[in-house]
Amino acid sequence: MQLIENLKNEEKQWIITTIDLWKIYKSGKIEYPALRGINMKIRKGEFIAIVGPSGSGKSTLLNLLGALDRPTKGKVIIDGTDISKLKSNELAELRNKKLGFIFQTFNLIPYMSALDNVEVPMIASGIPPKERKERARKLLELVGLKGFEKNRPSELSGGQQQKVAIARALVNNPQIILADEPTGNLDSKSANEIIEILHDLNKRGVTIILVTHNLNLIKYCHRVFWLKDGLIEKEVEQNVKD
Amino acid sequence: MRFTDIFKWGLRSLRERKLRAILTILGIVVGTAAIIALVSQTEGIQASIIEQMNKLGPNTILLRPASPSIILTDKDVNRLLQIPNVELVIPIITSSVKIYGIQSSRNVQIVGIDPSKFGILIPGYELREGRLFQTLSYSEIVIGSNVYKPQDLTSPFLNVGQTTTIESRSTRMIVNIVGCLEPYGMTALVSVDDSIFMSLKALANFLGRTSYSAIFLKTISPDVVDEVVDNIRAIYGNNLNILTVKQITQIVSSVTGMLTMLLGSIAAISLFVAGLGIMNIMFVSVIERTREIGVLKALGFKDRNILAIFLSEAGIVGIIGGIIGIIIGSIISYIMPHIMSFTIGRSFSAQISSFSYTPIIRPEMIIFVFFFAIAVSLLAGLYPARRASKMDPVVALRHE
Repeated sequence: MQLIENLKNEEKQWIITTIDLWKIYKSGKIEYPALRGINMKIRKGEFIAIVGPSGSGKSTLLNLLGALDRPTKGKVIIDGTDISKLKSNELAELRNKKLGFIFQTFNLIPYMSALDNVEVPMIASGIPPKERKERARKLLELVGLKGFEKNRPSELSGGQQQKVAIARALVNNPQIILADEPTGNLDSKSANEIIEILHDLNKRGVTIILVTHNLNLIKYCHRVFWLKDGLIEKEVEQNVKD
Repeated sequence: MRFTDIFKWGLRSLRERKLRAILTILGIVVGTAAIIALVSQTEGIQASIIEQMNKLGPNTILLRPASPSIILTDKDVNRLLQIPNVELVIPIITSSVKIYGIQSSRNVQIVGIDPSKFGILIPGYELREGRLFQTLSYSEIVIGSNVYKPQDLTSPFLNVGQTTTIESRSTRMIVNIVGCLEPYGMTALVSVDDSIFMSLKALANFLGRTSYSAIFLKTISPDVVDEVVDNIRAIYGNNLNILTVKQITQIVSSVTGMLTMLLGSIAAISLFVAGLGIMNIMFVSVIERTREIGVLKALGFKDRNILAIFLSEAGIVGIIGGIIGIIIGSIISYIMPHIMSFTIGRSFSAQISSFSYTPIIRPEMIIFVFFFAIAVSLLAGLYPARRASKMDPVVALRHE
């Protein structure tokens, strides 16, 4: 009994589990396997990095972990739900409620102000405007952008835009933040700021999955997965000092 | 997703591409305005003609010889009076004469009628000046308003109290103008404003004829018209053209109805073309915003949310275009009769120019056109919006 209970508890601590994860792209008759059997487990509250050369499959893996895509074979279990069985609307719902995305190119909506951009995920979930504004304002303040609410992305620096994107990712209180090369388009000072914010979020209990090939960014990561040719080449645990 | 948010989003992305939005809206405006402007004309014309017809009364029957060899005389008048339920029989003579003005002459229609029946042939007429001719007077005429002062002249062509000459096939007669009518419009047979009128006997005498051009007949009630027509046909067979106001009204309605359909469908085609414009621009918009669609999907927007956002854009184009189109169409619709009477009055004889009408824009038409514009826009937006909603988020996010 104790053993089963322990197993259950161990199960509970994993927020993401992948089992023999395959993703094969087809172009005509040629099949190109981007992922070839990935097994990984990510704990609640962990800060994970996935690194590897381009073409190693890190973006594909992130898309699967982010419920943007379905695997060709295998399973991705996010917070107890196997996403390969979900319909596209259910995936959207899951992304909206549990996940937050940060992209290399920020991907803000150009014709909206910073505040409006942060509100966007809340529009999808049907939160009333007053509450949206309030939450968005608080989050912009949290990422240090008080006073920039009305600015459009084109009126903000790269670092500021990425901070807006982080505020947007946080707005529905996600359990997991997925960041795809979040500092790829930033100078080193801004990049540092972004990593500090991510670190700070992690300390508050948010699970963070970072995809990068910049090894300067992985200092706060508990574990680093090295990807090569669609396989995990090695997994390195790191001691993180706060 | 809340409805107001969808609507606001559509409005916002249209505002972001102002010129493009304006051009697409313009397409809908043109289509809607064309339908309103054209259909209201034919409806106005129809109503006006039917109104003129009904002035004569629905119990009126008009008889004319079917061929020149058939002549109508007093004998026929008496015979028709014998038919049951016939209340009145009014013979008239119409012809074309030349009338001399101060400096020039004009061809006009002359109508000979007994003055006591004048008010039945032209119900509700009003004299602008003078009086009617008398039954036994052989030289008195009354002139229509366009003969008094044709539209192409700035001063009167003829005046009441004046003496002038009329001429038909080299026969001339001196006549006194004793009265002038107010503008009237048309009746079933006579373009009142462009005609001159004299006593039936006087005209018969002048033209040297004993037969009548046509006979108006009034039955005691509209209900017996068909019965009387049957009786007339029994006597005359196919020798007479029998027209009833009822029939004419039906014919006019069906002709203008067809015209309405024709013009309406031409205008509707322009609305469909506008729809193609919307579709085109929506496709461009979907492609341009591929990445945005990917981001929205990543942030948790469902397929139907994306569909709604893009459809709302098309819908807003339809709503704005529809409203502006209805306003502009209404304005054009009221200007059109003036332009038409101006150009026609210049290029044709005065015959048609006296025909005036007020365009009719029915509320049902406005509502129909409004929803038609929205429906066309939504239909045009549906396919591009669907394409946007079905986009694979991974592919969309990779889009440069």
